[in-house]
Amino acid sequence: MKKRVLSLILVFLLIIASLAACAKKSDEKSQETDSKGGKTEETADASVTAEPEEASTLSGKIVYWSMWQETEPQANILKSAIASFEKANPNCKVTVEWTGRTIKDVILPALESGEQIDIFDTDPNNIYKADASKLLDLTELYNSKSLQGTETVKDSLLGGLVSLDETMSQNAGLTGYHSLPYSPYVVSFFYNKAQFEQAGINAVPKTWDEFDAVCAKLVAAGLTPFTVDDAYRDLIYSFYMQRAIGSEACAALVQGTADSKSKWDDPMVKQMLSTMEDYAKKGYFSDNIDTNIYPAGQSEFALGNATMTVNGSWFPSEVANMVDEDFQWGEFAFPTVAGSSVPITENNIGGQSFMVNADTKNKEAVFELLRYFISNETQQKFTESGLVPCTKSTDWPASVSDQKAIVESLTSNVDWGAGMETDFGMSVVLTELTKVMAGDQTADDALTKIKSLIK
Amino acid sequence: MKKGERRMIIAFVLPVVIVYLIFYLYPTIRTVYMSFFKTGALSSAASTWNFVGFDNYTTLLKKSLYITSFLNVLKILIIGGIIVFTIALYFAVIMQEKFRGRNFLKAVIYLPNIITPIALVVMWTQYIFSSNFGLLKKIFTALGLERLADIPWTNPQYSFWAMLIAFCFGSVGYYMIIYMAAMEQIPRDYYECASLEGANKMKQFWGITLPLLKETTKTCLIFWAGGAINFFTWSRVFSANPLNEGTLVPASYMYTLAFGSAHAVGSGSLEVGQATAIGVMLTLCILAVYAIVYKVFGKEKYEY
Repeated sequence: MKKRVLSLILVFLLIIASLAACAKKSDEKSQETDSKGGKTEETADASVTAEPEEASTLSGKIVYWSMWQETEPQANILKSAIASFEKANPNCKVTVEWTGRTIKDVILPALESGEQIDIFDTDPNNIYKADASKLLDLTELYNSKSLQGTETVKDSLLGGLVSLDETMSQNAGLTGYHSLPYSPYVVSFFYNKAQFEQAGINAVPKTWDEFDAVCAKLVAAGLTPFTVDDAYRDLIYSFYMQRAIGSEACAALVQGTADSKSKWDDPMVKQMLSTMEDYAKKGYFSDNIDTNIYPAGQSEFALGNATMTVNGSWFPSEVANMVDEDFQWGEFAFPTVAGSSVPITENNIGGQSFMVNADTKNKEAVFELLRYFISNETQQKFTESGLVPCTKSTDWPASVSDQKAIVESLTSNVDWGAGMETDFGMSVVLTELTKVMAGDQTADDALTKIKSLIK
Repeated sequence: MKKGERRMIIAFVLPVVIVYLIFYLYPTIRTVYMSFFKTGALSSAASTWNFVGFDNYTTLLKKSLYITSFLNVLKILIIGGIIVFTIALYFAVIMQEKFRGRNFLKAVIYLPNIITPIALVVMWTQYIFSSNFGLLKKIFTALGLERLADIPWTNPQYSFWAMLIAFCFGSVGYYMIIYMAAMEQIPRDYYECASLEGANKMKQFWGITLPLLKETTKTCLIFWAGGAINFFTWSRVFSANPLNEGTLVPASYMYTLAFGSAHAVGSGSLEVGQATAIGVMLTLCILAVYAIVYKVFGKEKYEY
């Protein structure tokens, strides 16, 4: 009897599972239809803007290794650009390998092995540093007309991104341009505009003194001014130092070598440490500032439990499901330090970049496809998906719209973490500063400890 | 051995040997060779490497961060090992007794092994160790142990111990299952005989169970040493800072040197030569631990 009941239950489960599988299939089918429908629509759109006046002479296969997963919104946007390109250039065929983020680890060995890869994208820094000889010079592309035909590719891009590639090229000992930055990010303060209003704050701080005043008002209004988690904890003090002594001096400070020891005697270093100690004493930092493990800090901000944090342009999309629908995002650049000449226009911007294999056999077609990738039409789709575009004439998503001004006014690009993320910076300095920010240690004690650990 | 038989053995063994040579031996030799060179990328052509002798090794051994990472592994190996093996053995002995809910308890203890480490780390860092609403905070507060409740587990100062506790929690079940299987092989007669002779449970454990688990313990120690020395995933996920002193281990440092960190925009360059030197040192450590384990446990086996 028991066996019979068990058999009946199993048969029942089997039927349910089969039905569920069928249902899933039909869902997938309908999704496929949707995506196909979308694709047809996009192709139709493209035919309006990208229909060539003359038949395209470009031909051949282009292989693109992408840093996106096929299901990500970026992949869908790039797919539509590829469809437009293929329609305009019927003799070209683009093959995409949706590699995902691991591309950063596999791309160089793949290029070394001689596999056909014409275009790939990832954070260009590691490629520039590891083996810049793999990168084709894109100066010709930069100086050619963009897909819109109204300006050059270089002029169509945000100036800050062009200078970003220039800097990376120069650091690698190259001249010209070797990557095409897109999907940019800016590192800055993020704030909750509604809470600023609640505390009676009308303007964002431009100096650290103003930042102090802003925090005081927030505390008076019963709010927690600032939080962060371990992914970005060093940014607040490292950018204070950058504003105080400049990027190069910041990098020199955290080498952990005997000759860098005297640099810690700079009064600005003491001032930074004392400021952090002061902020901790005044209750400007969240009680969890030392224990927040990513993404706890950004969640704290998104849930309205802290008014400000530091992060990159990707931040709003990471917490999109956590913030209230009417959440008012605001951003401002790291404030300046009184008595220092480092301007507020030096900031950390970066992004992903398209790069071309130096051994590509189909340069012209590759360049044309890249023009489609960074056309205004494609970049507009980035904005519509809440992602940051790379072209000048495209608006930024509302959640990071304040950051566009930071990129436009950029005079010099600052390294991630103001160059302070060295071994010594991320181990000793960060540990001691975390104690100061948590109120567990004085500025003087931190300075003594840091200096004692320099060999 | 007949000639045909030998040919057949060679034919069967050859594919495995070839695969081994290509996918294990070649990378190993290349890694050792590479550790004597300075090179920009893992895939750079050998012609672009600069020979530096033992520089990569001496540089690493002078780096306090690298020494810290090694000490962390040593602590995981020894302290973690003592904790895991003690608890695993304790549970395995308990599970030998028949009691209600035994299978359920066994499944619960083993459960962390079927959950991906990433999910476990998230559970520990975002919930159990949380300074706001964490499980530990709630339990200690309820017990009136305010000082324990106030421990900032995920603060860089405490992060090593937090990581070790979480890792041990996830490892106990695995070794418990191995010990249980081994204990079930021990004939019941031994215990019955010992009982008749007047030996209590404790004496039976020390006199019968433990000596007969020698081979199993040897195997478990080798597994544990391999896992501890190559400790990686927990370290990478437990802190977003890959250079956090509390959670840094050599394998993680090796990855950072070879591939850069997520935001490696700074002035630091990739140090693939040093990364491979770490790989070589880790291999030597594993071999050393294996040698010690074999030496300590000897060759003689109990047969039962």
